[in-house]
Amino acid sequence: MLPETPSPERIAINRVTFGARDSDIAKAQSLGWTGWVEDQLNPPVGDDPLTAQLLKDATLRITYGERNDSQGTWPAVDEDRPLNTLSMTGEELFKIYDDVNRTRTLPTNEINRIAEEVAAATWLRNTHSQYQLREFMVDFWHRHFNVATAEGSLVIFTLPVYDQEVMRDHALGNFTDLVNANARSTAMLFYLDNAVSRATTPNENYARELLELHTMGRDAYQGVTTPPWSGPGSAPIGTKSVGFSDQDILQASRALSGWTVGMGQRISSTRSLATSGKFVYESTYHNRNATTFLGVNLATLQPAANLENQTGAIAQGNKVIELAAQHEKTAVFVVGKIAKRIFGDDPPKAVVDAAVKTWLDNSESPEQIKLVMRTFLMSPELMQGPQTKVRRPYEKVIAFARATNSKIRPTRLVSTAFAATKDALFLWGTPNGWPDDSEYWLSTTGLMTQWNTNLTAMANGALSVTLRNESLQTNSVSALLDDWIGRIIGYQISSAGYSALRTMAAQSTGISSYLGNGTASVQTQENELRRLVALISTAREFAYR
Amino acid sequence: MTLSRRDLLRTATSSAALATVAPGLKVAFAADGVAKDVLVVLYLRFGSDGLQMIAPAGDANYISNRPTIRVRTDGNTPGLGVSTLQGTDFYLNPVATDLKTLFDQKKLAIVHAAGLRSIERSHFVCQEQMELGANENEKVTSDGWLSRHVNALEGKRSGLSTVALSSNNPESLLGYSGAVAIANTSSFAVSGGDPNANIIRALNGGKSGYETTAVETLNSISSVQTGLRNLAVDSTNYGYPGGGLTTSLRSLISLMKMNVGIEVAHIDMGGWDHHNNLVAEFGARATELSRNLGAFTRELAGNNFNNTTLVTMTEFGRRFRENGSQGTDHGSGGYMFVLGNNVNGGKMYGVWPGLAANQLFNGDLDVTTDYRTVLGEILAKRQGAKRLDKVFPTTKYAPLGIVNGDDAGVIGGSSST
Repeated sequence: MLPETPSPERIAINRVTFGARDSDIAKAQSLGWTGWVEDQLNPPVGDDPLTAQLLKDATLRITYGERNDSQGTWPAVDEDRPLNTLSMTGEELFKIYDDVNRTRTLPTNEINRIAEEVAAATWLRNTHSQYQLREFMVDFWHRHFNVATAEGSLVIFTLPVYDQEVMRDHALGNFTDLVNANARSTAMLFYLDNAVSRATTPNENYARELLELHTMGRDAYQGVTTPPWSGPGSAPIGTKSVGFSDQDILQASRALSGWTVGMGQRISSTRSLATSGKFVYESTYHNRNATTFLGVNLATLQPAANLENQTGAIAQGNKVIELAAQHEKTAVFVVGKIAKRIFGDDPPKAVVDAAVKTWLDNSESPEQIKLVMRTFLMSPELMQGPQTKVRRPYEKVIAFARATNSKIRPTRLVSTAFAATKDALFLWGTPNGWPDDSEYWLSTTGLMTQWNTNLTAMANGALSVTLRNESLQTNSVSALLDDWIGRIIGYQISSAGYSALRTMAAQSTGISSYLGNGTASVQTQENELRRLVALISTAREFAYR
Repeated sequence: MTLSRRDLLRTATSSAALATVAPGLKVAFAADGVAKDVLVVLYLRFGSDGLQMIAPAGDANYISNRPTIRVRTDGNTPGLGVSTLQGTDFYLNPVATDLKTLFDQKKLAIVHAAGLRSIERSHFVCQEQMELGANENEKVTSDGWLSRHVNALEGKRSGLSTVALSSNNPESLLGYSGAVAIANTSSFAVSGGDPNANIIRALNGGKSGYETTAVETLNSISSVQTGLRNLAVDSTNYGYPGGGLTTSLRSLISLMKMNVGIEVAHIDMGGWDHHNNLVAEFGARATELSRNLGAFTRELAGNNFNNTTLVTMTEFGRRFRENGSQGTDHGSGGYMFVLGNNVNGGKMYGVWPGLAANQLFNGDLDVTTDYRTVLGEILAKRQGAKRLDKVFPTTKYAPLGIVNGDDAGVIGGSSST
């Protein structure tokens, strides 16, 4: 008999992973909650053995025709290729970019391939990794520092490095380090145009989003405090700023100019930048007129005109990042977002306040984010209902895959399905990332797409699984239904819903045959089982976590 | 932000009852018999550059501040001259040939230096202010301007009277629980049909947000499926370029043909945030917009839909001065297009503030016509709205004559200044 309400462990685990399975709950019970939390907070550097093997064995088809004209020269390709770009260095990835854009010995398919491989690896890891909390936080940071593949090959070509060295390496580490890594990443430097910012008129895009989206947040925006073009900033030096203004954005954009990517750009008749595809500082791109930022004088950090020393030269940009990342408003904004990701639109205030305190008390600690997550994970509120967080479309598919023990097969079908749910990594066009409040995700087309994705995912091969169990020991519809509801939801659903599912199962020749009462083919039995479990996933009990 | 979700959705049967108009006469009537246009709000996301769309190409200040990216009066691709406003000549971007045709046919009106007057330059802050119908000095409400408009209208609404042609509802429809988001009519169905749909309905009989939305979804799908079954296929080539905006506009026309009682439609078009490489990227977006609006107008005419008014809006224009990456950053004054048979087109409206240093607002094109002035006139004269004070409480009703129609008895807001 299923319990009437979800267990505390189930509630907690569903809030900080991609979906609680029976095995997760059993593990939490055997290790004890603290043991489970410590295990999740201390993942090893790489993937667990199972996930690592799945990544190694995964292949994704790539097909294109040959070409031999002024537009390019390359042979035809048609293969099921492993996810090779995941382990490539920046230089190797740059070579792909170069081959596509300069020497034209590879088609743009090979650039898009890079994004596809990172997406496929992400689906596999989110579904199968034992270290779910890390996956949860990597997902959070990717969405927080959103970049979009729609911006083109300059953003795409280093995504494997972006995913590994910015997000995975820092997911549970220090936030200032994370922002610094992000600010120097090729993907972000191109996505928000800082790489093309020039001394004459610095590009403000990255500076604005650094403050508004990545660190201090919209509520800290003070508007324009003085006309932007009329001279130095207005805040007296040493004033502790309560927020940031357009004046701060302007000064930050000056401080951060010169931070670019080495793509072989010609600087003078005798000098060009390296062709590394990596961060490099170029002094001739740097605007030297930054004055005050958040009340702190940047002008005294100005590099000397002929400075060879890279560390000294980027001091102004470093300072901007440090001040923004360590501001109080940043703690409130970012911790608040994490809390919403965990609990829903109205997270419990006591836990949020405690987590903000942990964040601020540990701004220099290499374990800052881990300690904040421990505050959330050890809070009594984590295990308490009501469950009000609406599962976003991507989460629902992954949770469905986890609950049914399905394998995600990284094919075009899966990427199309995720794109159709409108909740796919790298596809949200603007830097703020996909919204995370309930009202946005509860829309007619949204729900319809979520249902249809689960209803078709097993049939079209996006999820690979055989639901039929050869050693099934029952011939009872109720027992079968309870078993699947137990696995997917974990407690009793509404009686009207249960009744409708029971009727469907009882009237289904496939399911009756599966239970030993009929002669429908194995395929029919499997199809009907798939239909049944997909319908269970449309229930309100699966929609909320 | 919690909002009460009053369920205003009617069932499929009552929306079919609206299909009692004579064939060929596709006009929806308000409760008191006043003719009402279908209102289409087309939101151009992320700051469409008004100085590139409708350029003062001969203005000395414009020429010196946009040296590499400006629209020209001469050369291989000069701008398309449209009109003069307070002595300044304006030219449509050279790619916008359909828009020029619509302007010459007097179906398109242009309001320049229009928008949200705000010191803010943030997409998210400004979009929110605009969609909630506020300006910089006002407290934002928790509901959108379109929601307030629909809620203030009299008469029963059909379940599909207010539609967003996208996967999710825009902020301007926050607070109207009857808004339905349909990204694409031709793929709006539950996999496996009614047997599955009925089970999903049974699983979601409660009152939570998800369940309420689930039921609305199933009801809307049912209406649209019924409607689609009765529609003949139209393979006329109207000249749509394809892409997201085409899908949205054609889905809208399908819904109009189904006579399900559409009154208000919202469409999003993204991709206007041209911080660099503006000439090429803006050119592509402007071409897409122009061709789509041309095709849309032709398809409306082809179906005798003579009473549709489309209005564009964007949260701000872009910086007057180009940046170092041949692009423009966020600015202030924008523009609005108003398109339809009931528009006094072929004219430019508004007050051109000028581009001299002392005429700019924080270094950018000033806003001399509040976007709510334009929207208010359209709501009053083309949607029969009377209580504009409920929609834009702080904006006086001050029609510019952009559209024709009867606005007797309209109660506007009162200006806060």
